[in-house]
Amino acid sequence: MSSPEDELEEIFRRINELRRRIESFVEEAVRRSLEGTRRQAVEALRPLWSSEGVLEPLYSVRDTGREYVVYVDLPYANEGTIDVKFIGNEMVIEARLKSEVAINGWHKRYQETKFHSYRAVVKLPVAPDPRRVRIRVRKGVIQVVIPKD
Amino acid sequence: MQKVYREEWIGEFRFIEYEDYSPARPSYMIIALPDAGLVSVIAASHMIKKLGMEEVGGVDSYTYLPPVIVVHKGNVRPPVRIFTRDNLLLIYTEFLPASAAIPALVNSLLDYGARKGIDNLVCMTGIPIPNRFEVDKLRSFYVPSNPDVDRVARGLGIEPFENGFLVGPYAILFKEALRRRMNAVMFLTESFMEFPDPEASAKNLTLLSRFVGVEIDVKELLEQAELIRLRAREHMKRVMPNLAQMRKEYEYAPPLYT
Repeated sequence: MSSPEDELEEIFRRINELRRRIESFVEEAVRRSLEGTRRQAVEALRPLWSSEGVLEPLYSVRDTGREYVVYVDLPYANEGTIDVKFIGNEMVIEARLKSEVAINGWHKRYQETKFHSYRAVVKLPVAPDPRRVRIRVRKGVIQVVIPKD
Repeated sequence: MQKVYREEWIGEFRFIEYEDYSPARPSYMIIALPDAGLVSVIAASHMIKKLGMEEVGGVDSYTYLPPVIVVHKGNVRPPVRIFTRDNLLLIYTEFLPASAAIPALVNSLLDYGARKGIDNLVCMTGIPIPNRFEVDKLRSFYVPSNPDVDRVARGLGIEPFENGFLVGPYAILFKEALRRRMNAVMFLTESFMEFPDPEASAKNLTLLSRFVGVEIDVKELLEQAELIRLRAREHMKRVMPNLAQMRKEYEYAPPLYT
């Protein structure tokens, strides 16, 4: 038989444990939220080109129910050089441009930069089986169809 | 530094004119705002070059427009720019304000147009289709504000846009044009939502050209389409969050009641 003092102590112990768990949960939620906001801000401020001459293409991922369909816009890419690889649930797309494109035609600020290729790493909702993926290219847009099952 | 001829506040927007100008009659105001596939902005940019339109003014707001100046050939310009030639007045911006700011901007632009004696409003934009990747022959549609405009637009050989949703800056613009009982037409050409689409821009320009009776050659636009798409990637990326915020994806949905 425990004394009333022991019971009271047990209640306080449980309350303290619960408080510790709530604090830990809130801290984790706040940390994740801040990290998400930071990532969004970094992503929004990131340019789609690098000074090494690589352009990042625009892309979108659609869920059509039975498949995921990825569209990647690769204007002015040499279609014969388009290379698509799958590493886990990432799709890596690379292609060379038809010829080097210099931004100095657009703006003197970038006069040293010449672009020669595209590269994008697209995170996919699943790790696809590369043998079942279908790829088509039309007018500089690439369509990658990934079956879900 | 650009000389300012006249300055006027309309609502929260400062309209600046660099010189005295008034469009010839019948006058057409064309408003180019970033939207699906940047179709209107790409078209307007080509039109400025091809017609040699003169930059005669601009619009600014510290409240409603992004904190931006555009430097063009060494001249400082506000984010919304005004070009003209003969009977055409073109409002051009590559920056889409937050959706809450669009009604205020649209109202001020239409007030300005009224003060300039504008007779007709022309909007031309993209209507996104999910199978754009597969489509070679883009279809165009129009929305008229009244039967007179309907008659003229019908003569262009395109169909009226009979059922569907229009979302975004042009929806607000057109609603306001209707409320003001303006002569207005909106040309809609099938396009990508998330990728710049100069082909759709060229199609819209061909329609505009016939509607206003001014020749606008789109050969160069089509020839340069790939490089324009490459160059417009950054803009498209910046515009997409605004379009998503406006629930632009509703345009893909067929209405339940037709």
